[in-house]
Amino acid sequence: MRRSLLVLLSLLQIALLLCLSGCWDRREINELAVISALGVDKEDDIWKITAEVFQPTTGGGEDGSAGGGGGSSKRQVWIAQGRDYTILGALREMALKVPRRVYAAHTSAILIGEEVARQGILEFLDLWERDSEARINTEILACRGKAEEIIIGSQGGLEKSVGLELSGLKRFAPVNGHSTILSVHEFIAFLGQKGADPFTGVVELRTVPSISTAGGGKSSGSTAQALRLKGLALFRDDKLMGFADPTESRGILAIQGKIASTILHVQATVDENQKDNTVALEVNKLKKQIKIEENEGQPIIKIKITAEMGLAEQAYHGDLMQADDIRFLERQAATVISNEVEKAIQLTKNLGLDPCGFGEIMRRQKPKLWEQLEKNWPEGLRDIDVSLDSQARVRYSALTGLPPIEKR
Amino acid sequence: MRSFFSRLLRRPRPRHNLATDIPAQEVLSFLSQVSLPQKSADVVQAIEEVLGNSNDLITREIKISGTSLSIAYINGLVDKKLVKVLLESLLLKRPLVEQAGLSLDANIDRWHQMGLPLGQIKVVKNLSEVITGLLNGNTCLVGDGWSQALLADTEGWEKRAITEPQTSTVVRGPREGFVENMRTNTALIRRRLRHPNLRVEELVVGDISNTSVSILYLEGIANSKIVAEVRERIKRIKIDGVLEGHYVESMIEDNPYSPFPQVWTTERPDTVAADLLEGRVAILTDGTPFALTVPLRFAALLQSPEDYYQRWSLSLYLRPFRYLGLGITAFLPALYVAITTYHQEMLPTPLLISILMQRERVPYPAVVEALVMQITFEILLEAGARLPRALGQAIGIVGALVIGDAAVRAGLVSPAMVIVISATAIASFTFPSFDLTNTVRLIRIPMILLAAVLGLFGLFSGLIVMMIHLVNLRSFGIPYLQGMAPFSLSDQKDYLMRAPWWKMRTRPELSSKKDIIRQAPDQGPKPPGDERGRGPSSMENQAPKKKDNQQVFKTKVKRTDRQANRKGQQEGKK
Repeated sequence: MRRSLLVLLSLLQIALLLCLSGCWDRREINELAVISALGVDKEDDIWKITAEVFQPTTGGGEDGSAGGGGGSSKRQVWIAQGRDYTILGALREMALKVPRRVYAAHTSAILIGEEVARQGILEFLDLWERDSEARINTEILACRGKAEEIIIGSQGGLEKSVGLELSGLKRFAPVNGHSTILSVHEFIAFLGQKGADPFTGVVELRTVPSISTAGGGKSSGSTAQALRLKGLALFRDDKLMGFADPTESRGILAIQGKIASTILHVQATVDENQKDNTVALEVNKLKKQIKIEENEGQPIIKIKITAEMGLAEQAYHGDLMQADDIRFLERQAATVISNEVEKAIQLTKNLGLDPCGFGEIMRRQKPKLWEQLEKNWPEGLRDIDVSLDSQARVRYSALTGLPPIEKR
Repeated sequence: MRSFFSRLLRRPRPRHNLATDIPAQEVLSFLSQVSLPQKSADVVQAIEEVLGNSNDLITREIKISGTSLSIAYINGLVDKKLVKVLLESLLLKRPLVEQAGLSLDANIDRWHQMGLPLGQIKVVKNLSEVITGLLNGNTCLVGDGWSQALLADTEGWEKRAITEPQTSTVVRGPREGFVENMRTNTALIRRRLRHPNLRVEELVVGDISNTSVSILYLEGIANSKIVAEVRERIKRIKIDGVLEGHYVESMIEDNPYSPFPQVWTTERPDTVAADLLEGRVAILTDGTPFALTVPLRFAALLQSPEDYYQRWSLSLYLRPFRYLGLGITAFLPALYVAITTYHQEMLPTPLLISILMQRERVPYPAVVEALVMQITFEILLEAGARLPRALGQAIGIVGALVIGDAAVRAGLVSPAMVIVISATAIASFTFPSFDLTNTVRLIRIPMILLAAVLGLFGLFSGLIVMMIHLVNLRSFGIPYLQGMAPFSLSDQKDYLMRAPWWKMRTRPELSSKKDIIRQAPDQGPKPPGDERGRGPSSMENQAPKKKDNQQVFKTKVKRTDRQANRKGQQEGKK
């Protein structure tokens, strides 16, 4: 009796559960407008959000509505824009234009327009960090000019969307060492530190020759716009303060220890008249050591950079793997590193920023000193001496055998 | 009742029909009250009467010195050669007896002791035994003045030859499978376990089918409480006919409402022998080429007999795939539905785009898609099982083309869903036990529905309910997940993995407790000169901590008792 009642009740329960189809979270995958990249701009207090949405076509070759350029591959995207006094309002405004549910969880990259970046993007970062749908591992990038222009304009890329292209760039840019891309999470981590200022990569458009296969023959002479990472954008808190060129960027990244690999150019011989004298050294390991020392109440920042590298390419046709040559290459490489880091520090001093995070290191190593300097940071960095010691070690040749001419 | 007696005693009474006067199920018990008449002709007549003059009853009367001797058998159930031997011996006696001028020996015991050239001769006293004997293929022999009958075992009907088991084939291992004839089956097991302690107990179940059901176990190794419980439960069965082992299985299960099998079914005598060695109890049903063994633990459903016949490393490598297959076949469609309709953020972006594009042309929600595919698959499977073998290929082609290709092209289902359902289908055949395949078929669609309604939350609720059920389930008082819950370190050697044979020193816990040591210790590979584990007596010398084990045994037995009591109470209520 009791048992059959139990069975009956549980059956009833299951039946009722099935009636509960008001599952408000249910969304079929093909009812979503999946955002790939998001451009954030602001025009007179009005947020303007540009969303690059995946266009679900079953085959390639169909035009995205924003298409028009003729890149080597077609973007499979569709552009939606929304404006409102708040970001969420602007995103909701898109609902009037997009026949699907705008879905932000798969956003690969966020492009911040220059204007809004200079005004401050705290509101946006806060929304992106705390909203349940947005993900904090989304990349954040700065751009010169409007973000909207870059998203709409860059139609000549390899990937299906700007977002996918930028997530590819994030993975492989550290091989170059001249720029990097931070995620929203990493960016926000900087905001939590008084002694370090955030930075992120800058994306800009470049013109590429377009090979349009549409309409049969190749149309020569046409061009398309594609993306390029160039240097870093330097922020104080959430406000864009300036840009660093690629060389300065490499200096900053070297101090930050964010270089996976990079190429240094040095001379093969002292002989100035020697033609084809350039040698490429591939840096594979770059260690930094920063120490704050105190001298009569004045801090001195001591940076020691140790780079391990290999000989990767040479124009001078001689065997450079002799002890003397190696010493010579090492000395030059150390100089190149020192120069770039010097330039980077000079730039940050000029801008009154601390993207290298010296303040944070000071807080850890000399807390008492930091207490005094904290109020006037990062401007106070200008008055602090930085001593630099770079060492380079050419450990091996990344090339096999001897140069062909040496074999004679 | 009385009238039938009277008619046997040749008193004129109105004719009664046995078949209509007495309920069919009580005929034999009624007949057991009828003692055999003096004259052999009366006995034969009584037999004919009881069997309603069936055509296949053969009777023959032989006169020796004026006394008549009758034989009766049922055509088709007997081996005619044996009957011929019997008749020859009788007819050879006639001239001897007649020349000597003697009358036929009226002492049935003398006949029994030396008169007949057959192995098994029984003396029976009532009509019920005679009839049962005839129906079992015996030949009945009655003489004037005996008032008893001799039953000669002449059993010999058409039997299927022993063939390779259809349901569990192995690459390496014995190729013999059970057949429908129970005597052959018990012989197959005895040939593997030639030990006096192998017990074969026979019970008769089914009031009309009178099917023999045998209980096999190893005395001293099997838990006697479990043996008693099995015997008790089988005796409790009251049913008209038992045509397959499942009749017995479903009536002795601990929880008949569970979708999970609680009795292991196998077609292989070697598997049964292995189970007996582990201390389990086997049940053989006449007419069924499948043996049942109890108690069953869940892990056994994922263990193939081949696991033990090939190198242990391979078994160790293969078993996880069966568990993986179980996970895939039970939960993959539900997981797919849950993730694509609720948790798209869990997909990698490229996969999301890929699924997005595939689903673009599909008009239905993912649940409908999954259910349609699942139902189609079940129908195909069912059709494939029913089709004549010659048409089976056609179904395969139709299934592959229509579902695999055309449905995708027509935009009815997405390719991803086809992959999911086919992976599910293939994975469902990785288990050695077809019972488990069927169980999983039952839970798959409810899981899809749960996932469709509540996403991963629903899926995991379903999983938790299932786990609670499994943990509660018992097979003959032994926990279904024995080894894991309750956890037993020693049982791990043959659970998720399989240890090499020389490592499997003890029998599984609970199932057998008295004699848990299987083999001498330290038989693993070792350098020459090391004699550990090679002496003949080391098995006894090193039997570890027997006392502890017996304590565990006691506590577990209590549970079995309690369960038996509960069962008994339920019976009483009804």
